[in-house]
Amino acid sequence: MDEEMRFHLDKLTERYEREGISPIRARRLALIEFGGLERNREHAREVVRLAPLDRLLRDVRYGARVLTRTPLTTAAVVLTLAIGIGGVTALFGILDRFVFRRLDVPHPDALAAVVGTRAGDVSESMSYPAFRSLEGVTAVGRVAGYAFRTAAIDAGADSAIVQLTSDDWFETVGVHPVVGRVWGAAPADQETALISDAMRRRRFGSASNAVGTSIELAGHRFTVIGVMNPGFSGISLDFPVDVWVPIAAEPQFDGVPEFADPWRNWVRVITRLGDAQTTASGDAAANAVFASYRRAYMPGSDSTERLSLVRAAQPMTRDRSSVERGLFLAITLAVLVLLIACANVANLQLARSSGRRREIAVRMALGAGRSSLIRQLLTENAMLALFGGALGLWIAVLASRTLTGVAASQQFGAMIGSLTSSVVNLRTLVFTIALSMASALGFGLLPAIRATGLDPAWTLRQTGFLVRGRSGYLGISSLLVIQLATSVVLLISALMVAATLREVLTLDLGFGPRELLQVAIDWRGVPDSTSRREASAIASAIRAIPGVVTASVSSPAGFGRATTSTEAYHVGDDRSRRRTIEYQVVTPEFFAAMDMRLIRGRPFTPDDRGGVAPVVVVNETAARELFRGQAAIGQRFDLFQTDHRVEVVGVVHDARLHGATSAAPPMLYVPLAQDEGAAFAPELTIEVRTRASTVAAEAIARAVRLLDSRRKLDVRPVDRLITESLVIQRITAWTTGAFGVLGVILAMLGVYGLHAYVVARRTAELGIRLALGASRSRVLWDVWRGGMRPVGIGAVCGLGVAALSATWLRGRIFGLSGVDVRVAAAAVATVIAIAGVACLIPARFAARLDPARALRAD
Amino acid sequence: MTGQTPRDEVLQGTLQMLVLKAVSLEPMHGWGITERLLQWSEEILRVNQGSLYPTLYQLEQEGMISSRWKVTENNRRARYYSLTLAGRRRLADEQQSWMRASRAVNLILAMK
Repeated sequence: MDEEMRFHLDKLTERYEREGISPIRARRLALIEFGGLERNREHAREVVRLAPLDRLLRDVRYGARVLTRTPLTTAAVVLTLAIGIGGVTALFGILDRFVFRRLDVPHPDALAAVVGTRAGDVSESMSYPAFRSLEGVTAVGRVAGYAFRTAAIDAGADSAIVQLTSDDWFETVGVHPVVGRVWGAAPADQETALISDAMRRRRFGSASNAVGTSIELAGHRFTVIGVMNPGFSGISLDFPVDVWVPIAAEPQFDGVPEFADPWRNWVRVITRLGDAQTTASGDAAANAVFASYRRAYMPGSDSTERLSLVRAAQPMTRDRSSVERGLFLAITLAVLVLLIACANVANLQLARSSGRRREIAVRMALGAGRSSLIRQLLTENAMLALFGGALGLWIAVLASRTLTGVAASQQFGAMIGSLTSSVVNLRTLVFTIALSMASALGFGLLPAIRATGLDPAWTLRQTGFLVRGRSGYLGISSLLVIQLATSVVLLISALMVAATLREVLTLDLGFGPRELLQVAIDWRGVPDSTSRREASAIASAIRAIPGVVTASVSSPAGFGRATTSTEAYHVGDDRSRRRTIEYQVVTPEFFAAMDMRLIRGRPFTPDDRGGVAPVVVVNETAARELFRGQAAIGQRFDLFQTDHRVEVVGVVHDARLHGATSAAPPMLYVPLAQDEGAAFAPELTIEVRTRASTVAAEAIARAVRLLDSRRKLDVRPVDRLITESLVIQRITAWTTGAFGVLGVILAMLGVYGLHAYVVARRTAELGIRLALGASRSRVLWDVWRGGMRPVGIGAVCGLGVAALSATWLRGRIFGLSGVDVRVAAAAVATVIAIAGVACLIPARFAARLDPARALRAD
Repeated sequence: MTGQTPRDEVLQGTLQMLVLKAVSLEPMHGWGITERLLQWSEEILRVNQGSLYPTLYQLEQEGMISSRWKVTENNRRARYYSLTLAGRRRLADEQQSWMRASRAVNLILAMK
C-alpha cells in the first residue's frame, strides 16, 4: 500500500515538474493535493477493512510492544491469571473424566444396571437364581451378570481384579476382545480367561502374543483366549478389571458354589435396552418377574424389596455422589478464585489504561476509530489471557500430579489416580482456551470501554497535575468490593469445610479407634468351617502377645467393610412384622476389643455357644426401632429363618462401624459360636485392642506363623482406616483451604496494588495538602480510610453472600449445620486485618511524602 | 496556482463504475486510472486520491478487479489492476442502468 501510494505521489510530482515547476515545489504541491500520506493510508485501511488476519497480526504486534514495555506488570497479570485458570482447569480435568465421561462402548445410553431397592437403600447385587429369572424377559432387555473378586496371580504376591462374567456380558456391554475370542458354551471353555491390555503388558511385555498362555488365579489355571481393547478396564471405576473369567468359575474363587442359594446376593446385573424401551417399562417387567420368583423361592421374604433399572451410561462408582459434591464445591471455589484474579487484572488494566490515556487520546486524535481501539485493547487482553491460560494448563498438570500422588497412598488411589492421570486432552484444552478468552472479556471489556470513552481534546489538555474526581475510581472500587466479598466467601467456605472435617475426626464414633488394630485374613478358597477354626486359633495366639489387651473375631470386619443383612421376624403380637436388619457375627471379646459401651444387659460370654438358647445384642437404634418403646432386654424374635428364635440380652451404644460419616443403622450382634448353619460368616476378621500401640504388625505375623498358618494377613490400625475413609473429605478440605488462601492473597494483592496506584496518582494533591499544613497523621488516616472503604463494603457483602449460600453449602459438606457465626467473624476479621495492613503501606508512604518533591510530580 | 483546471467531484456512487470502466481495456495502475479518467472526461473529472485507493481495495475485496505487481515502462514497480469476469458483468449492469437514468434526466432537462 505504501509503495503504491508513493508511486502515485511521484507521478503527481512528475506532472508538476513537467509543467515547469521546481522539483521541491512540485513535491510540495503533490503532497498537498494528495492530502497526507498517513491519513490516506489509515483511511484506506479502515474503508477496505483489512483482511481479518492482517488486522489481527497488526494488533498482536502492537500488543506485544505494549506488553513488553512493562514486563513486570505483564508477568504479574499472567501469573495471576495462570493461578486462577490453572485451578479451574485442574478441577475441570477431573470433573470431565469423572462426571461427563461415558463408557467407551457403542450406545452407552442403552445400558442400565438392575439394582435392588428397599426403603431407600440400594443393593447392587442380587442372587444368582434371581438374575437367571430375568434372562429372556424381553422388556428388561438383554441382561448379563457379573461379580468382582480379587485373586492372587500365579500363587505370587501379585493380585488381580477378576470379573466373574456371564456369557452374554460382552454382547450386552458391547465390547469385544481385540485379539482372540470370547468363550463359548462348550464345557471346555469354562476354564478360559480374557485379560486386559494392561494385564497383557504387565505379564508379557509389549510385543508378545498372550493368547494360548495360561494364568493361575486363586490356585486355578485358566487359558487366556483373548485380550481386550487397550484402555478398557470394565464398567466400574472402583474395580478396574484385569481378568474376565466365566461366571461358572465362581466356586474356584469363593470355595463354595453359590448358584442355587436364593438368599445370597452376589451377582451384579447390567442390561442393554432396545431402542423403544425405557427404564420404567423395564422396571415393571422386572418386578413382575421378581415377585413371582420371590413367591417361588423365597417364601416369607421382605416384599418391600423392588428391582429398579438405573441408567448406566457412565462408568459406575460407589462414591459418585460424594465425589461429585466435593468436585462441584471445589470447582465453584476455583471459579471464585478466577473471578478474583480477573478482578485483579481488570483493576490493573483500568489503572494502566488511565496511565495510557494520553497514548489513546493521541491515537484517537490521529483518526483511529473507537472500535478499532477497543479491539486493540481486547487483543492485548486476549494475549495476556492466553499466556495465562498456557501457564495455567501447566499448573493444572502439576496440581493434578500432586493430587494423584496424594491419592495414591489412599484408599481410593486407583480411582482418583485414573481420574487425574491425564488432565490434558482435547476437551480440557478447548475448555482452557475458552476460559482464557472469557476471562479476557471479563477483565478487559470494562477498562477498554472506559479508556476509549474520553474526549481526546480534554484528555490532551490535562497536565496530570489536576486531581481527577472520585468518579474515575468508581469502577475500580466496585471491582475491589466484588473481590473482597468473594474472598470473604472463599475464606468462610474453606474454614467451614476445615471445621467440619475436624468435627468428623473428633466425632464420638461409639467405639475406640485408637490403639485398635484390624487384621484382615485372606480366606479365599478356604471352607467356612476351617476358617472359623483357624480364626479362633489366630485370635488366641494374638491375645498371648504382650501388650495386647484382647482380640476378637468378627464377620464382617469391625470397621468399614461391607455389612451382611438378614431379616428379623417379630414374634408375639404381630407375626407378619418383619424387617431387614444388618448384623455382625462376633466372639465374646468383640465389645471389649472395639471399646463399645454396654448400656443395658450383658455382653456375650463363652457360655453363649451352640446348643444353648440363642442370644443377640442390639445397638441403641435397633432397640429403639424394633421394639416400639418397650424394653429391649428379654425381647424375642426369629432371626435368619422362622425357627431360629433369639433373645435380646444386651444393648450397646451405637457405633459408626461403616464409616465416620454415616450414622449407625439398626444393628444386631450374633455370637459366632451360636450361628453355625444359620448365619453366613465369609470375612472373618480379627480386632486387636492393644496397650499404647506397642504391638507391631510383625509381632502379630510372627504369632500367626507359629501356628503354621499359611494365610496372608493385612494388619491395619483402625484410626488410619478411618482417616483413609475420609479421603474425599480431606481432599475437599485441602482444596477449599488452598483456594481460600489463594483467593485472599490475590484479593490482598489487588487491594495493595490499587491503593498504591491511587496514592501515586494523588501524589501532587497530597503534596499540596501537606504543604498547606495538613498533619501527617491526618493524611495517613485519610488515605488509609479511603482504601478501607471498599474493603468494609466488600466484607459486608461477602458476609451476606455467605449467609445466602449456606443452604447450598450445607447440601455439599457432610455435617455442616449452617454458617457458624464465629467462623464467619473470624473470616471477616482476617480479611479486614490483612487489608488494613495492605492499605497501611501506601498510606504511610503518602504521609511521608516530601511536599516539595510531591508538588513536582506528574 | 498554475495548471489548475476547474474540476468536478465525481458523483457519489459512480466512482466504482468509472474505475471499472477505466481498467476494462487493459490492466492499469492507480495513477494511470486517474490520468485516464481525466483524459477521457476531457480534463473535467479529477479523481481524488483519497477516495481512489479505498475504492480500488474495496473492489478488489469484492472480487471485481484483481491486482498484480508489474514493472512500468520506466522500470518502477507498480500495482496493476485488471477487470475480473464478475467485474465485467458489474460494469455492464451499472453502465446500462446509468445510461437509462442519465437519459431520463437529460430528457427532463431538455424540456423547454
